[in-house]
Amino acid sequence: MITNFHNTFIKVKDILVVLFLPIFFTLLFGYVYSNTYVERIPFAILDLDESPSSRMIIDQFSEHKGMDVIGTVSTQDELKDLILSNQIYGGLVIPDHFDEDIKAKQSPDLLVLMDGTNLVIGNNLHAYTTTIINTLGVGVQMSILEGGSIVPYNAEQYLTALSFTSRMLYDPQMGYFLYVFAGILGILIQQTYLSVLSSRLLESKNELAQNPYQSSIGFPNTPLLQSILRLLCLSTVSFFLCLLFANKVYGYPLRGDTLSLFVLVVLFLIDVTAMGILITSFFDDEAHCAQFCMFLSVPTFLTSGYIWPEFMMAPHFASIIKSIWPLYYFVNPLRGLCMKNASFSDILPYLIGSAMFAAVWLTLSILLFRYRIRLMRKTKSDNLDICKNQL
Amino acid sequence: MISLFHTVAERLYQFKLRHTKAIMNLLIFIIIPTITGIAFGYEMGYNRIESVPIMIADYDHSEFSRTLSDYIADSEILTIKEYASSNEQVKDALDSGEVMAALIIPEQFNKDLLSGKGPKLEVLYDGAQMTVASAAKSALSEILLTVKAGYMKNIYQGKLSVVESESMKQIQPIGATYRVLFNPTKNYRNFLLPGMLAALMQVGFGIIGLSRSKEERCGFSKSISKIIGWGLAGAGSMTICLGIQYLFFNLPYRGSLLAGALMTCFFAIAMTAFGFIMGRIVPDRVFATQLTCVLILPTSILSGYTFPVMAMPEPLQKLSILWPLTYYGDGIRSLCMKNIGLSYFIPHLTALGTIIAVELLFMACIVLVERKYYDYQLS
Repeated sequence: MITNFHNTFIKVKDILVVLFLPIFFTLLFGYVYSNTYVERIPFAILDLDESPSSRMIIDQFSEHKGMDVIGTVSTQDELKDLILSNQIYGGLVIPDHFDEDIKAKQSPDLLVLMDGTNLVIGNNLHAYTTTIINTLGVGVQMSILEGGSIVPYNAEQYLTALSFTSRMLYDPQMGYFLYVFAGILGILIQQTYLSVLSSRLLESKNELAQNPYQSSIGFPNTPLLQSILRLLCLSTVSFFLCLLFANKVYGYPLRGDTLSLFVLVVLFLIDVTAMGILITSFFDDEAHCAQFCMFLSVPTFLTSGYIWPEFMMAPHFASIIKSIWPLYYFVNPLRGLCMKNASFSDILPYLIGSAMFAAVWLTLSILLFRYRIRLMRKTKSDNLDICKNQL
Repeated sequence: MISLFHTVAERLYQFKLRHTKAIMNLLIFIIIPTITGIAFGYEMGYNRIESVPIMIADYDHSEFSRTLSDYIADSEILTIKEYASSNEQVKDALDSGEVMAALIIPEQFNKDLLSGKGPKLEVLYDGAQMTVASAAKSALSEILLTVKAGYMKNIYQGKLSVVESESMKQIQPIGATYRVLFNPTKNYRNFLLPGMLAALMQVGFGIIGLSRSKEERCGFSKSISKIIGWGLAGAGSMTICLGIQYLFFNLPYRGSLLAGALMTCFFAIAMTAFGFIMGRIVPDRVFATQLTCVLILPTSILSGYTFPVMAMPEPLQKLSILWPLTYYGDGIRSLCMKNIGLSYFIPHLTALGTIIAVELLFMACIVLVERKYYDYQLS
């Protein structure tokens, strides 16, 4: 009765972990990133001029939805102290005689202070303040040109000359969810699959090591292969469901073709299977193995070339990572497929890399796993022999 | 040779069987943090985003377009990968990820510019790579604004007869100095690594807490001593992890040492206590491990370390006060980059202290319930 309950619990738990956990986290993280922009960044202004021009600038900053102007301060030290204590993330200093200097065409200088510790906030703040100040500058320039007897049409032409049209391809809004989702999905699939797979592999290893006098190693055996195949199918279904939910609920683009996605995920799961066999070769205790596997998520994500692209990595680092962990071959083409509708030829190098990874590591890990079973059997038989001799 | 290999493997296996607990502790507290710290430090050796590959499609072939290309070639942030001969080539390169930005200079651009027709340059960015695209956009905007300033200078001098010394002031009627405090070079490694290492280490703290709780059923005082003892060991491990970055990869540490030490200890104890509680309430060890990690790992995102809490929906903003990493990640990054004293961290320490107090209270309840249950069973 208890054994039956335990087996049912294990089966249900596996399905929950492999199939539903990635979907749950897709929905959760999608919700985290559901606001596309970082807005209402706390901001303060030091107005040393207190003129109509400076008040106009304060109004412009206050009306911008990117910033939340919490008020004005009276000294620069006060401003810096507020930034230091994280009460605000940036500040503007309007210098004395600002209004007079504008009228005298002396190009007065505004000072924008930004907290650079969190680059996401800092970069957004930089973009917002630049936009406001440039817009104000163009307005003043226009009046200078028109005041200098240039007709308004020509003045506008001069000011717009050499301007540029920026087009942000694939994700015009530059949302954080669209940027990060393929990487997160890769980690979710990897971790859930690996955690359940390692349990099955350890069970099998411990079972096979039970009989020390058995002649054949018996790995890989049919029941285990069936179990792995079941997990692989569940994980693949989960992957597609995650993509579907991300698309329907949070508008994640699905521009690539399904077959390419299917090949990509299956190859990746085979790679992870190889790594799972390798890891379980070293562990006997299921909990220890699960603990080790859980440690892999952050390091493998940060070294996959997804957040820190390959061209920016230190020399030889990318080649080492590509040869020891397969996430690189999955998350980068996945982003290309979903966001850019990358062609099969674009992702082919990744598929070849992934297949080669599987060929090499699957062979090595199976050999190691088999060796480990032999070692466990030998230890067991030695212990039995000692017992017999003692008896 | 093969027999030697067998002997070594066998000895190692025997050693592992005898010292499994010590090996796991060593793995969690020393080996994983050290290797990960070195790997991250080495990986992000360039510190900031630079050498972003860009493609130029120059249909103008004028003196101006060549000057513009030279400006881009001189930029540290951008690297000209290739000159394209058609827009299709540009699109293919962007699609395949070969380049991450492209500049298209239209035909007769220079001629139109001189005749005052206001021609436009087209700049394309790979929006799928947000951080790289932002860096490329900012670098390219800077270059184009510099070139534009030169052009406007000629207009002011030629059309309005403004003298050279005055023309620059009129080109930029409102100047702006942008000062990025504490991280002036926008060093990405310093921004990312302290909290990411903490996100990794907190899994270890949780696991250690869980493993210790499974060793024996102990009373409240013994549980506290275990939590604090192993929490302090975890703080030592976290210090090693950050120390590697400081010693070998130029991670600054400008804040108060006492604040750093207290924050690290509080954080490690809070996470160890969480693991300990999970170990006490979930009977199955493997399931307890998986559940603990599943609850801990997402906090690397939910704590707002990279994507700030202020940008999250309101319910998640409220939930974020529950995660120790919310206070520690942000706090340790501030300590690394800002010359800041202990007094600034009183709110962080209070929050972490409150979390620990609540956890210990919960622990006391568990011990009480367990005791009552056993008493009931005995009776």
